[in-house]
Amino acid sequence: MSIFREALELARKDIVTEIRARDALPSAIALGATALLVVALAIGPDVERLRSLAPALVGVVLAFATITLADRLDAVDRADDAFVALWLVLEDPRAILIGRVISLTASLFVLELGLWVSASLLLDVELTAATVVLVPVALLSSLSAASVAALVMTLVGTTPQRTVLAPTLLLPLLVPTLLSGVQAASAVLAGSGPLVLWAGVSGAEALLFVGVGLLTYREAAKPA
Amino acid sequence: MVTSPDPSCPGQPLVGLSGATKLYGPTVAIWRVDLWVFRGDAVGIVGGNGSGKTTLLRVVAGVLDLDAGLRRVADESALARPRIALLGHRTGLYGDLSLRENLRLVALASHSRAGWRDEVLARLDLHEVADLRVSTLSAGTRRRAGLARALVSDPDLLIADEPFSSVDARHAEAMADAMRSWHASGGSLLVAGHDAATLLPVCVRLHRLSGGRLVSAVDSAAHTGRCSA
Repeated sequence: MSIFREALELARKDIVTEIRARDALPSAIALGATALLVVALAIGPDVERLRSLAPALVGVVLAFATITLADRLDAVDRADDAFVALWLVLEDPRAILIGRVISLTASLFVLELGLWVSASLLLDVELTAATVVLVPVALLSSLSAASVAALVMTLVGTTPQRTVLAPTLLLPLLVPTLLSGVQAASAVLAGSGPLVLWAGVSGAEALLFVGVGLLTYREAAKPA
Repeated sequence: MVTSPDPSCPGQPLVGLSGATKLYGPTVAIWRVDLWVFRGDAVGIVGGNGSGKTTLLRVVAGVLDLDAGLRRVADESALARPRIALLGHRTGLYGDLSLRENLRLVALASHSRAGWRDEVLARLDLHEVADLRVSTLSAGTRRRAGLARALVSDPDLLIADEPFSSVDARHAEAMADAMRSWHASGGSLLVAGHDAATLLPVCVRLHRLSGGRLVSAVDSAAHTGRCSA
Protein backbone atom coordinates (compact mmCIF):
# COMPACT_ATOMS: atom_id res chain seq x y z
CA MET A 1 0.00 0.00 0.00
CA SER A 2 3.03 2.22 0.12
CA ILE A 3 2.43 3.36 -3.47
CA PHE A 4 -0.91 4.91 -2.44
CA ARG A 5 0.64 6.65 0.53
CA GLU A 6 3.31 8.08 -1.75
CA ALA A 7 0.66 9.02 -4.32
CA LEU A 8 -1.33 10.89 -1.69
CA GLU A 9 1.79 12.76 -0.61
CA LEU A 10 2.56 13.68 -4.23
CA ALA A 11 -1.04 14.83 -4.73
CA ARG A 12 -0.75 16.93 -1.61
CA LYS A 13 2.38 18.50 -3.05
CA ASP A 14 0.52 19.37 -6.28
CA ILE A 15 -2.39 20.90 -4.38
CA VAL A 16 -0.17 22.93 -2.02
CA THR A 17 1.84 24.19 -5.00
CA GLU A 18 -1.33 25.21 -6.83
CA ILE A 19 -2.78 26.96 -3.77
CA ARG A 20 0.44 28.92 -3.19
CA ALA A 21 1.05 29.82 -6.82
CA ARG A 22 -2.65 30.69 -7.39
CA ASP A 23 -2.00 30.08 -11.04
CA ALA A 24 -4.12 27.72 -13.10
CA LEU A 25 -7.20 27.08 -10.95
CA PRO A 26 -8.25 30.70 -10.22
CA SER A 27 -7.82 31.65 -13.87
CA ALA A 28 -9.82 28.57 -14.95
CA ILE A 29 -12.64 29.49 -12.55
CA ALA A 30 -12.61 33.12 -13.74
CA LEU A 31 -12.60 32.04 -17.37
CA GLY A 32 -15.42 29.59 -16.77
CA ALA A 33 -17.59 32.13 -14.96
CA THR A 34 -16.94 34.63 -17.76
CA ALA A 35 -18.00 32.08 -20.37
CA LEU A 36 -21.26 31.44 -18.48
CA LEU A 37 -21.87 35.18 -18.16
CA VAL A 38 -21.32 35.80 -21.86
CA VAL A 39 -23.73 33.00 -22.80
CA ALA A 40 -26.31 34.29 -20.33
CA LEU A 41 -26.09 37.77 -21.84
CA ALA A 42 -26.24 36.41 -25.38
CA ILE A 43 -29.33 34.30 -24.80
CA GLY A 44 -31.21 36.78 -22.67
CA PRO A 45 -34.13 36.03 -20.34
CA ASP A 46 -35.08 32.66 -21.83
CA VAL A 47 -34.74 30.76 -18.53
CA GLU A 48 -35.59 27.30 -19.86
CA ARG A 49 -33.01 27.58 -22.61
CA LEU A 50 -30.36 28.82 -20.20
CA ARG A 51 -31.00 25.91 -17.84
CA SER A 52 -30.86 23.35 -20.62
CA LEU A 53 -27.53 24.73 -21.84
CA ALA A 54 -25.89 24.73 -18.41
CA PRO A 55 -24.58 21.12 -18.39
CA ALA A 56 -22.99 21.53 -21.82
CA LEU A 57 -21.36 24.83 -20.88
CA VAL A 58 -19.97 23.37 -17.67
CA GLY A 59 -18.67 20.38 -19.64
CA VAL A 60 -16.93 22.50 -22.27
CA VAL A 61 -15.27 24.70 -19.65
CA LEU A 62 -14.19 21.58 -17.77
CA ALA A 63 -12.60 20.13 -20.91
CA PHE A 64 -10.53 23.23 -21.61
CA ALA A 65 -9.63 23.65 -17.96
CA THR A 66 -8.38 20.07 -17.92
CA ILE A 67 -5.78 20.95 -20.54
CA THR A 68 -4.66 24.07 -18.66
CA LEU A 69 -4.48 22.42 -15.23
CA ALA A 70 -2.75 19.27 -16.44
CA ASP A 71 -0.21 21.28 -18.39
CA ARG A 72 0.48 23.51 -15.40
CA LEU A 73 1.04 20.56 -13.03
CA ASP A 74 3.35 18.93 -15.54
CA ALA A 75 5.31 22.16 -15.99
CA VAL A 76 5.79 22.49 -12.22
CA ASP A 77 7.18 18.95 -12.05
CA ARG A 78 9.62 19.51 -14.88
CA ALA A 79 10.66 23.08 -14.01
CA ASP A 80 13.71 22.23 -11.94
CA ASP A 81 14.16 18.55 -12.74
CA ALA A 82 12.05 17.61 -9.73
CA PHE A 83 10.37 14.91 -11.80
CA VAL A 84 13.72 13.23 -12.50
CA ALA A 85 14.66 13.44 -8.82
CA LEU A 86 11.40 11.77 -7.81
CA TRP A 87 11.61 9.17 -10.56
CA LEU A 88 15.01 8.06 -9.32
CA VAL A 89 14.08 7.66 -5.66
CA LEU A 90 10.57 6.23 -5.87
CA GLU A 91 10.42 2.47 -5.54
CA ASP A 92 7.42 2.47 -7.86
CA PRO A 93 7.30 5.60 -10.06
CA ARG A 94 3.65 4.91 -10.87
CA ALA A 95 2.93 6.72 -7.63
CA ILE A 96 3.55 9.88 -9.67
CA LEU A 97 0.71 8.97 -12.05
CA ILE A 98 -1.72 8.09 -9.28
CA GLY A 99 -0.78 11.26 -7.40
CA ARG A 100 -1.38 13.29 -10.54
CA VAL A 101 -4.82 11.74 -11.08
CA ILE A 102 -5.76 12.52 -7.46
CA SER A 103 -4.58 16.14 -7.51
CA LEU A 104 -6.06 16.84 -10.93
CA THR A 105 -9.37 15.29 -9.87
CA ALA A 106 -9.42 17.50 -6.77
CA SER A 107 -8.73 20.66 -8.81
CA LEU A 108 -11.30 19.82 -11.48
CA PHE A 109 -13.87 18.90 -8.85
CA VAL A 110 -13.44 22.27 -7.12
CA LEU A 111 -13.69 23.97 -10.50
CA GLU A 112 -16.83 22.08 -11.46
CA LEU A 113 -18.53 22.85 -8.16
CA GLY A 114 -17.60 26.52 -8.67
CA LEU A 115 -19.07 26.37 -12.16
CA TRP A 116 -22.36 24.93 -10.89
CA VAL A 117 -22.61 27.70 -8.31
CA SER A 118 -21.92 30.22 -11.10
CA ALA A 119 -24.53 28.49 -13.25
CA SER A 120 -27.11 28.86 -10.50
CA LEU A 121 -26.41 32.60 -10.39
CA LEU A 122 -26.00 33.29 -14.09
CA LEU A 123 -28.10 30.64 -15.84
CA ASP A 124 -30.84 30.31 -13.24
CA VAL A 125 -30.09 26.65 -12.58
CA GLU A 126 -32.00 25.60 -9.45
CA LEU A 127 -29.69 23.93 -6.94
CA THR A 128 -32.04 22.13 -4.59
CA ALA A 129 -31.72 19.14 -2.28
CA ALA A 130 -32.61 16.92 -5.22
CA THR A 131 -29.69 18.23 -7.25
CA VAL A 132 -27.15 17.27 -4.57
CA VAL A 133 -26.49 14.26 -6.80
CA LEU A 134 -24.57 16.73 -8.98
CA VAL A 135 -21.75 16.43 -6.43
CA PRO A 136 -20.92 12.75 -7.09
CA VAL A 137 -21.59 13.29 -10.79
CA ALA A 138 -19.07 16.15 -10.78
CA LEU A 139 -16.59 13.99 -8.91
CA LEU A 140 -16.91 11.19 -11.44
CA SER A 141 -16.53 13.43 -14.47
CA SER A 142 -13.54 15.15 -12.81
CA LEU A 143 -11.94 11.77 -12.14
CA SER A 144 -12.59 10.69 -15.70
CA ALA A 145 -11.08 13.86 -17.19
CA ALA A 146 -8.11 13.69 -14.80
CA SER A 147 -7.36 10.08 -15.76
CA VAL A 148 -7.32 10.91 -19.46
CA ALA A 149 -5.19 14.03 -18.93
CA ALA A 150 -2.66 12.31 -16.69
CA LEU A 151 -2.09 9.61 -19.28
CA VAL A 152 -1.88 11.99 -22.23
CA MET A 153 0.57 14.29 -20.45
CA THR A 154 2.71 11.25 -19.70
CA LEU A 155 2.71 10.18 -23.33
CA VAL A 156 3.46 13.66 -24.61
CA GLY A 157 6.29 13.99 -22.11
CA THR A 158 8.90 16.56 -22.99
CA THR A 159 8.55 16.42 -26.77
CA PRO A 160 9.18 19.83 -28.30
CA GLN A 161 5.73 19.75 -29.95
CA ARG A 162 3.92 19.20 -26.65
CA THR A 163 2.08 22.54 -26.84
CA VAL A 164 0.28 21.32 -29.96
CA LEU A 165 0.28 17.61 -29.19
CA ALA A 166 -1.28 17.78 -25.71
CA PRO A 167 -4.61 19.42 -26.71
CA THR A 168 -4.71 17.58 -30.03
CA LEU A 169 -4.56 14.23 -28.26
CA LEU A 170 -6.49 15.23 -25.19
CA LEU A 171 -9.61 16.86 -26.63
CA PRO A 172 -10.83 13.85 -28.68
CA LEU A 173 -10.19 11.54 -25.72
CA LEU A 174 -12.21 13.87 -23.51
CA VAL A 175 -15.30 13.55 -25.70
CA PRO A 176 -16.71 10.51 -23.82
CA THR A 177 -16.08 12.34 -20.53
CA LEU A 178 -17.82 15.41 -21.86
CA LEU A 179 -20.72 13.40 -23.21
CA SER A 180 -21.29 11.29 -20.10
CA GLY A 181 -20.84 14.26 -17.75
CA VAL A 182 -23.30 16.42 -19.68
CA GLN A 183 -25.86 13.63 -19.98
CA ALA A 184 -25.59 12.70 -16.30
CA ALA A 185 -25.89 16.33 -15.17
CA SER A 186 -28.87 16.87 -17.50
CA ALA A 187 -30.56 13.83 -15.98
CA VAL A 188 -30.00 15.19 -12.48
CA LEU A 189 -31.38 18.62 -13.35
CA ALA A 190 -34.37 17.16 -15.22
CA GLY A 191 -35.07 14.75 -12.39
CA SER A 192 -35.25 11.86 -14.86
CA GLY A 193 -33.13 10.04 -17.43
CA PRO A 194 -30.45 7.35 -17.50
CA LEU A 195 -28.26 8.91 -14.79
CA VAL A 196 -26.70 5.62 -13.66
CA LEU A 197 -25.79 4.65 -17.21
CA TRP A 198 -23.93 7.90 -17.90
CA ALA A 199 -22.27 7.94 -14.50
CA GLY A 200 -21.14 4.40 -15.27
CA VAL A 201 -19.64 5.55 -18.56
CA SER A 202 -17.62 8.20 -16.71
CA GLY A 203 -16.44 5.65 -14.16
CA ALA A 204 -15.55 3.12 -16.86
CA GLU A 205 -13.51 5.70 -18.74
CA ALA A 206 -11.63 6.60 -15.58
CA LEU A 207 -10.89 2.92 -14.90
CA LEU A 208 -9.75 2.34 -18.46
CA PHE A 209 -7.32 5.26 -18.57
CA VAL A 210 -5.93 4.70 -15.08
CA GLY A 211 -5.44 1.03 -15.99
CA VAL A 212 -3.65 1.82 -19.26
CA GLY A 213 -1.60 4.44 -17.44
CA LEU A 214 -0.49 2.00 -14.74
CA LEU A 215 0.45 -0.61 -17.33
CA THR A 216 2.49 1.74 -19.50
CA TYR A 217 3.81 4.36 -17.08
CA ARG A 218 7.27 2.95 -16.38
CA GLU A 219 8.18 2.96 -20.07
CA ALA A 220 6.12 5.93 -21.21
CA ALA A 221 7.27 8.35 -18.52
CA LYS A 222 10.90 7.27 -18.22
CA PRO A 223 13.02 10.43 -18.37
CA ALA A 224 15.41 9.40 -21.14
CA MET B 1 32.12 -5.47 -26.60
CA VAL B 2 31.13 -5.55 -22.95
CA THR B 3 33.98 -5.04 -20.58
CA SER B 4 33.99 -6.31 -17.04
CA PRO B 5 34.50 -4.01 -14.13
CA ASP B 6 38.11 -3.51 -13.21
CA PRO B 7 38.21 -3.51 -9.43
CA SER B 8 40.86 -0.88 -8.90
CA CYS B 9 38.94 0.09 -5.77
CA PRO B 10 37.80 -2.74 -3.50
CA GLY B 11 34.04 -3.15 -3.35
CA GLN B 12 31.15 -4.59 -5.31
CA PRO B 13 30.38 -3.09 -8.73
CA LEU B 14 27.32 -0.83 -8.58
CA VAL B 15 26.70 0.86 -11.93
CA GLY B 16 28.82 0.82 -15.05
CA LEU B 17 29.08 1.76 -18.69
CA SER B 18 30.61 -0.29 -21.49
CA GLY B 19 31.38 1.41 -24.78
CA ALA B 20 28.84 4.07 -23.93
CA THR B 21 28.19 6.46 -26.81
CA LYS B 22 25.71 9.31 -26.96
CA LEU B 23 25.31 11.66 -29.90
CA TYR B 24 23.27 14.84 -30.29
CA GLY B 25 22.85 14.94 -34.06
CA PRO B 26 26.37 15.15 -35.47
CA THR B 27 27.82 16.18 -32.11
CA VAL B 28 29.54 13.56 -30.01
CA ALA B 29 28.58 13.96 -26.36
CA ILE B 30 30.35 10.84 -25.08
CA TRP B 31 32.24 8.27 -27.11
CA ARG B 32 32.90 4.65 -26.14
CA VAL B 33 33.18 5.34 -22.46
CA ASP B 34 33.95 2.46 -20.09
CA LEU B 35 33.40 3.32 -16.47
CA TRP B 36 32.43 1.42 -13.34
CA VAL B 37 31.41 2.82 -10.01
CA PHE B 38 31.77 0.48 -7.04
CA ARG B 39 30.01 0.35 -3.71
CA GLY B 40 31.87 2.70 -1.41
CA ASP B 41 33.63 4.30 -4.38
CA ALA B 42 34.17 8.02 -4.95
CA VAL B 43 34.84 8.79 -8.59
CA GLY B 44 35.60 12.23 -9.99
CA ILE B 45 35.16 13.24 -13.62
CA VAL B 46 37.23 16.26 -14.61
CA GLY B 47 36.50 18.11 -17.83
CA GLY B 48 35.95 21.50 -19.36
CA ASN B 49 32.73 22.98 -20.69
CA GLY B 50 31.21 20.75 -23.36
CA SER B 51 33.44 17.79 -22.54
CA GLY B 52 30.42 15.53 -21.97
CA LYS B 53 30.33 15.46 -18.17
CA THR B 54 26.63 16.18 -17.83
CA THR B 55 25.69 13.63 -20.47
CA LEU B 56 27.94 11.02 -18.86
CA LEU B 57 26.40 11.59 -15.44
CA ARG B 58 22.82 11.46 -16.75
CA VAL B 59 23.61 8.25 -18.62
CA VAL B 60 25.04 6.65 -15.47
CA ALA B 61 21.95 7.80 -13.57
CA GLY B 62 19.78 6.08 -16.16
CA VAL B 63 17.83 9.19 -17.17
CA LEU B 64 19.38 9.44 -20.63
CA ASP B 65 19.41 6.60 -23.16
CA LEU B 66 22.56 5.58 -25.01
CA ASP B 67 22.94 5.48 -28.79
CA ALA B 68 25.47 2.65 -28.50
CA GLY B 69 27.05 0.66 -25.72
CA LEU B 70 25.56 -0.56 -22.49
CA ARG B 71 24.63 0.74 -19.08
CA ARG B 72 24.95 -2.04 -16.57
CA VAL B 73 23.60 -2.30 -13.08
CA ALA B 74 25.33 -4.73 -10.76
CA ASP B 75 23.31 -7.71 -9.70
CA GLU B 76 20.61 -7.13 -12.29
CA SER B 77 18.78 -10.17 -10.98
CA ALA B 78 18.17 -8.38 -7.69
CA LEU B 79 14.63 -7.10 -7.24
CA ALA B 80 15.67 -3.73 -5.85
CA ARG B 81 17.54 -1.50 -8.29
CA PRO B 82 20.30 0.61 -6.76
CA ARG B 83 18.89 3.91 -5.57
CA ILE B 84 20.53 6.80 -7.34
CA ALA B 85 20.27 10.49 -6.51
CA LEU B 86 21.21 13.00 -9.17
CA LEU B 87 22.18 16.58 -8.43
CA GLY B 88 22.39 18.07 -11.89
CA HIS B 89 22.66 21.71 -12.89
CA ARG B 90 19.11 22.04 -11.61
CA THR B 91 18.26 21.27 -8.01
CA GLY B 92 15.31 18.89 -8.36
CA LEU B 93 13.31 20.94 -5.84
CA TYR B 94 9.83 22.46 -6.00
CA GLY B 95 10.12 26.24 -5.81
CA ASP B 96 6.72 26.80 -4.21
CA LEU B 97 7.43 24.38 -1.37
CA SER B 98 9.73 25.10 1.55
CA LEU B 99 12.99 23.21 1.75
CA ARG B 100 11.65 21.22 4.70
CA GLU B 101 8.54 20.25 2.71
CA ASN B 102 10.72 19.23 -0.24
CA LEU B 103 12.89 17.06 1.97
CA ARG B 104 9.86 15.53 3.66
CA LEU B 105 8.53 14.53 0.24
CA VAL B 106 11.84 12.96 -0.79
CA ALA B 107 12.24 11.19 2.56
CA LEU B 108 8.78 9.71 2.24
CA ALA B 109 9.31 8.68 -1.38
CA SER B 110 12.63 7.04 -0.60
CA HIS B 111 11.71 5.60 2.81
CA SER B 112 14.91 7.06 4.24
CA ARG B 113 15.69 6.60 7.89
CA ALA B 114 14.10 8.73 10.58
CA GLY B 115 16.13 11.69 11.78
CA TRP B 116 18.33 11.70 8.68
CA ARG B 117 16.61 14.81 7.31
CA ASP B 118 17.53 16.94 10.30
CA GLU B 119 21.05 15.58 10.25
CA VAL B 120 21.48 16.57 6.62
CA LEU B 121 20.04 20.03 7.27
CA ALA B 122 22.52 20.52 10.10
CA ARG B 123 25.50 19.23 8.12
CA LEU B 124 24.78 21.63 5.30
CA ASP B 125 23.99 24.54 7.58
CA LEU B 126 20.46 24.83 6.18
CA HIS B 127 18.35 24.87 9.34
CA GLU B 128 17.75 28.62 9.19
CA VAL B 129 16.35 28.54 5.68
CA ALA B 130 14.52 25.21 5.97
CA ASP B 131 11.08 26.81 6.26
CA LEU B 132 11.52 29.28 3.43
CA ARG B 133 10.18 28.63 -0.02
CA VAL B 134 12.94 27.30 -2.26
CA SER B 135 12.15 29.92 -4.92
CA THR B 136 13.20 32.65 -2.47
CA LEU B 137 16.65 31.17 -1.77
CA SER B 138 19.86 32.45 -3.35
CA ALA B 139 21.53 30.41 -6.10
CA GLY B 140 24.24 29.15 -3.76
CA THR B 141 21.76 28.18 -1.05
CA ARG B 142 19.62 26.41 -3.61
CA ARG B 143 22.69 24.43 -4.63
CA ARG B 144 23.21 23.28 -1.04
CA ALA B 145 19.50 22.57 -0.78
CA GLY B 146 19.81 20.42 -3.90
CA LEU B 147 22.58 18.42 -2.27
CA ALA B 148 20.43 18.07 0.85
CA ARG B 149 17.62 16.74 -1.33
CA ALA B 150 19.96 14.21 -2.90
CA LEU B 151 21.44 13.08 0.42
CA VAL B 152 18.08 12.80 2.18
CA SER B 153 17.04 10.08 -0.27
CA ASP B 154 19.86 8.02 1.28
CA PRO B 155 20.99 6.72 -2.12
CA ASP B 156 23.39 3.92 -2.97
CA LEU B 157 25.02 6.28 -5.45
CA LEU B 158 25.08 10.07 -5.31
CA ILE B 159 25.80 11.70 -8.65
CA ALA B 160 26.65 15.40 -8.54
CA ASP B 161 27.33 17.63 -11.53
CA GLU B 162 29.53 20.58 -10.57
CA PRO B 163 28.05 20.62 -7.06
CA PHE B 164 30.10 23.58 -5.85
CA SER B 165 29.20 26.03 -8.62
CA SER B 166 27.68 29.30 -7.30
CA VAL B 167 28.63 28.32 -3.74
CA ASP B 168 30.97 30.42 -1.60
CA ALA B 169 34.13 28.86 -0.15
CA ARG B 170 32.76 28.33 3.38
CA HIS B 171 29.64 26.58 2.20
CA ALA B 172 31.51 24.64 -0.48
CA GLU B 173 33.62 23.23 2.35
CA ALA B 174 30.45 22.29 4.26
CA MET B 175 29.16 20.54 1.14
CA ALA B 176 32.44 18.69 0.68
CA ASP B 177 32.37 17.69 4.36
CA ALA B 178 28.83 16.36 4.03
CA MET B 179 29.78 14.36 0.94
CA ARG B 180 32.93 13.02 2.60
CA SER B 181 31.18 11.87 5.74
CA TRP B 182 28.38 10.36 3.70
CA HIS B 183 30.99 8.50 1.62
CA ALA B 184 32.78 7.42 4.77
CA SER B 185 29.55 5.85 5.98
CA GLY B 186 29.50 3.61 2.90
CA GLY B 187 27.83 5.69 0.18
CA SER B 188 29.19 5.84 -3.37
CA LEU B 189 29.93 9.08 -5.18
CA LEU B 190 30.27 10.15 -8.80
CA VAL B 191 31.13 13.84 -9.04
CA ALA B 192 31.98 15.99 -12.05
CA GLY B 193 33.78 19.31 -12.09
CA HIS B 194 36.03 21.59 -14.09
CA ASP B 195 39.24 21.01 -12.19
CA ALA B 196 40.81 18.28 -10.15
CA ALA B 197 41.54 20.54 -7.19
CA THR B 198 37.84 20.90 -6.35
CA LEU B 199 37.18 17.18 -6.70
CA LEU B 200 40.20 15.75 -4.89
CA PRO B 201 38.81 16.49 -1.42
CA VAL B 202 35.78 14.26 -2.09
CA CYS B 203 37.00 11.70 -4.65
CA VAL B 204 39.18 8.62 -4.51
CA ARG B 205 39.61 8.12 -8.24
CA LEU B 206 39.74 10.79 -10.90
CA HIS B 207 39.07 10.45 -14.61
CA ARG B 208 39.59 13.11 -17.24
CA LEU B 209 36.93 13.56 -19.90
CA SER B 210 37.77 15.43 -23.10
CA GLY B 211 35.63 15.64 -26.21
CA GLY B 212 33.37 12.96 -24.79
CA ARG B 213 36.23 10.49 -24.31
CA LEU B 214 37.70 9.30 -21.04
CA VAL B 215 41.29 10.11 -21.92
CA SER B 216 43.03 9.32 -18.66
CA ALA B 217 42.36 7.85 -15.26
CA VAL B 218 44.25 8.94 -12.20
CA ASP B 219 43.92 6.76 -9.14
CA SER B 220 44.14 9.24 -6.34
CA ALA B 221 43.61 6.65 -3.61
CA ALA B 222 47.32 6.63 -2.96
CA HIS B 223 47.19 10.36 -2.32
CA THR B 224 44.14 10.37 -0.12
CA GLY B 225 44.23 6.92 1.45
CA ARG B 226 40.40 6.97 1.46
CA CYS B 227 39.60 4.10 -0.86
CA SER B 228 36.90 2.37 1.11
CA ALA B 229 35.37 -1.06 0.78
